Amino acid sequence: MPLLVVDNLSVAFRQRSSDVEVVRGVSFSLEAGRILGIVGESGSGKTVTCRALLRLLPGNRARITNGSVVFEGRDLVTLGERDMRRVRGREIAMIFQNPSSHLDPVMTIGRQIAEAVVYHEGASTRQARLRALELLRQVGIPDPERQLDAYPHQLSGGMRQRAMIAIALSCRPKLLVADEPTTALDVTVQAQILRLLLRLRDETGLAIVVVTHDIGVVAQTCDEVAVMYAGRIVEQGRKTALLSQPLHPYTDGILRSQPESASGTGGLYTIPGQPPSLAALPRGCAFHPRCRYAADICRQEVPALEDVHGHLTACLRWEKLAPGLVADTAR
Amino acid sequence: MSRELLRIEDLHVHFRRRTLKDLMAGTHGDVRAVNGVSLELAQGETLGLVGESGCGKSTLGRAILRLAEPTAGRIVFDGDNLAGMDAHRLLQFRRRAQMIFQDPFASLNPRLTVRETLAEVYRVHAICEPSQIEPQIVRLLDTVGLSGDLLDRRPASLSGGQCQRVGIARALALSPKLLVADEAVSALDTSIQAQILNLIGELQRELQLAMIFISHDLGVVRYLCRRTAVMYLGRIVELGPTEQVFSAPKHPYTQALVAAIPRVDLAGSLPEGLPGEPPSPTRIPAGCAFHPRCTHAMACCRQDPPPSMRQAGSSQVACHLYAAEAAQGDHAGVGGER
Repeated sequence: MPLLVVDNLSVAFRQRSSDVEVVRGVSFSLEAGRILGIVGESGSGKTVTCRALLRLLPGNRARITNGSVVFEGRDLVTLGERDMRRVRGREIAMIFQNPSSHLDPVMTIGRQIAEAVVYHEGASTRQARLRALELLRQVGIPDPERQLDAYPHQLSGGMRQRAMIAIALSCRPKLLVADEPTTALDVTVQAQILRLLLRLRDETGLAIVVVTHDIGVVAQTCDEVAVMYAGRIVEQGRKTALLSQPLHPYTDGILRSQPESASGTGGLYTIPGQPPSLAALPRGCAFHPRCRYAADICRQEVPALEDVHGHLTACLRWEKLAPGLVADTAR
Repeated sequence: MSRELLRIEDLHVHFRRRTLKDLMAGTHGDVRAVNGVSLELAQGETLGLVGESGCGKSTLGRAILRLAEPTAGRIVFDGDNLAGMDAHRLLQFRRRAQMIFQDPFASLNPRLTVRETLAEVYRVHAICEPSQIEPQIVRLLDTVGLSGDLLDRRPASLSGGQCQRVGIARALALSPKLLVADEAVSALDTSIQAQILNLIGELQRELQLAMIFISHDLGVVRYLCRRTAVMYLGRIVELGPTEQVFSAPKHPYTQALVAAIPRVDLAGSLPEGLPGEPPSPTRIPAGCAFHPRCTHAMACCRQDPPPSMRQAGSSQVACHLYAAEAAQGDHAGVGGER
């Protein structure tokens, strides 16, 4: 059985007049030891989806309106707050884009790691400090004895991200949710952090959900990829299948607009227009105003995810992208 | 080669920073952001400036427009020495050299409409009749692909991509000869980034702009620039034709940097990558600044600063590895090619 099964999850934010659904009917599942990448532009709902898994949404403004998040047999959406607090950190941990704003600036790194161990595992201060030392070593922080007593401002961005990963791993969670973990880092440091995540997965069987806008990061780390657009998953599949033969025009456009896939003098391929406002989505397929393959049907029908040989696409005209493939409709 | 537009000679930009600890120890904690950079740029040429954060690339870009004061060295633009220009001559200079900034929201005044932002440029520089301003602005918006209905909007009601187009329009209003773009597309979403890159590329070619494009995103630089300079801790360590720098990097740092680019192709494995992180520009290591992270470091790298830029292939490199080669005589390389 998968470790995590998200089914038809929807999240709405309260706006002045009405509710705006920012995540609409998202479903995916994840096995232990696997890495799922969620890709999308800002406002596509990828971060909200992640936070909804841990119920870390601003309570007064956002709520889960539908769906379930089943983690090891328990539905986290309906779990009481006390039990939920035991899940957070201990079973599912999260790391964020900007480590400086998620670490306590007036507490040493060592104490911040120890805090979680004491809280969740009831360890003594001494034990917790030893565990913190071991964790700093595990995430590759040089000179860990000394860094244990360092404050976040004394560390570089890459070291802070490692410290945050150490905190996240302190209670040996089974699932790590990483929201843009390397976006604030230089490419050289990014490669180090990604390698660290892969190593932790291999060593501990950790399952990871990585949220990113960088297709390159996905290509190098993930097993599976979900592409989000305007609050929905529009395409989902094995990494190799999805990157080599995208079945949604949005994914296809993103891949082709990468500077590295530019050919000759023709300029970069661009997706015209800009992402729609979630409060005023176009009728039919939300992507149709920007889509080169849009037809009348796209303006009327909201496409559901269709299974094409295990590769899901929410496009009514995906055959235009892959004329050779035949829909797996026999089942 | 067309005419030289910009020449930078041994430029230093240091920021003074003295903490209590420094005072007591009698040391100085100056941040040596730019530490001896020499560069030339021809008219209409594009140069990419890449490196990790803190390498001094933004400071160099700002110093070229005198938005940061050089500590030492010379910047010569179109025959004029920038140092010692008075306010009047500086204003004239800035008609010919403009900048695009990273954060499209922060670089626009939130209280001005698009019309006011653009009109201000013409007013400050007083280059056309007040009655001519409006038609100029409309033409400008058209150039950057914005519709005229946006003229009365403020930045808050524009998207990131639209704000960046306004920033580009503002930079182009005075028909400059040099454009410095500091991380101009880094804050934008992928689908918008491609639009803005195409726009910058088209305008650069049409208007024959010389451009210094500063970015940590190597893919973007490879796409846009003819030459690329790689900076490490305030110095240029490699400079050459972009394709050379990316396909046959010479300096060990460039090699590691290029290897660390996440690639979309499915070879998929993560590169070995560079150990460690760049040291602080307040404490630049002795010898070659890169030696603590360099896999090829030799004894001389720990003591002697690397030689100034030497030719290696069609690139120039500041590295002891190539100094040794050059000393052995160039015929070895020539013979290899034959």
